[in-house]
Amino acid sequence: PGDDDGEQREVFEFEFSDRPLLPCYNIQVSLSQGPRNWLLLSDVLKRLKMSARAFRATFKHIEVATIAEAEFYKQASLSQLFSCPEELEGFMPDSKELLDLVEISSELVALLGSSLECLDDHWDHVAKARS
Amino acid sequence: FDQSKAHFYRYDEQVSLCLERRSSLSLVGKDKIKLAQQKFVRCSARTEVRHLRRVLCRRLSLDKQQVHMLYNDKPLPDHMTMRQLWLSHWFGKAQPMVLQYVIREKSHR
Repeated sequence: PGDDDGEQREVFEFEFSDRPLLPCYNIQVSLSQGPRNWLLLSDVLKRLKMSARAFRATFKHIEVATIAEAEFYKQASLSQLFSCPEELEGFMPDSKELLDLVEISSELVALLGSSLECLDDHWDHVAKARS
Repeated sequence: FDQSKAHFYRYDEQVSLCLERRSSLSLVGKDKIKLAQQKFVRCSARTEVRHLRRVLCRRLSLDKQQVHMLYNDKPLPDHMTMRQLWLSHWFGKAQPMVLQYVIREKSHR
């Protein structure tokens, strides 16, 4: 067995909450980066009981991305994990309206009252390799 | 360890879970009760059952073999991913996917 220090570690993240989690959408908002995980700003504001203006003023460093509702619907409905029709029924497939999105980050997770737990897969691989 | 060398799976599609405890063993201590109440979980669709098991063991300070994951009260294979589980058991249903876990007595050898 070689030295493992140079190997890439695989870390799984878990968000734990005592309240149902807000829906998360895996969406590509720009051509310069791949899909990322986003929450609807409107959902976040409702959970935080904050206005959009107060949110933007308080958390200036949190980027708010926008996407046309039709494009959002197109991408979200491709996901096998959104197979329940009711989950996307509030969105208009042909709408040109813009939706505001905020990317999931450790800061946002903490703001929403969840806790983040990381699990290094390294240990299991070593155990498997040695068994 | 060097986090810049780690892959976090954070851009993967995420699944939303609700973990219900099935156990005759009672948890002791305020912290453990609080942790057990945090039953809503989000993780990468590539997370395997064994990862979920391990993270629960760690949060509840239990031995690795004490937690067993279940779906419909039937044991789940350790290497099944959340995506496989979702597609085979939860397709067409709303989030979160409901799983159970059972805490077994610590084995003494």
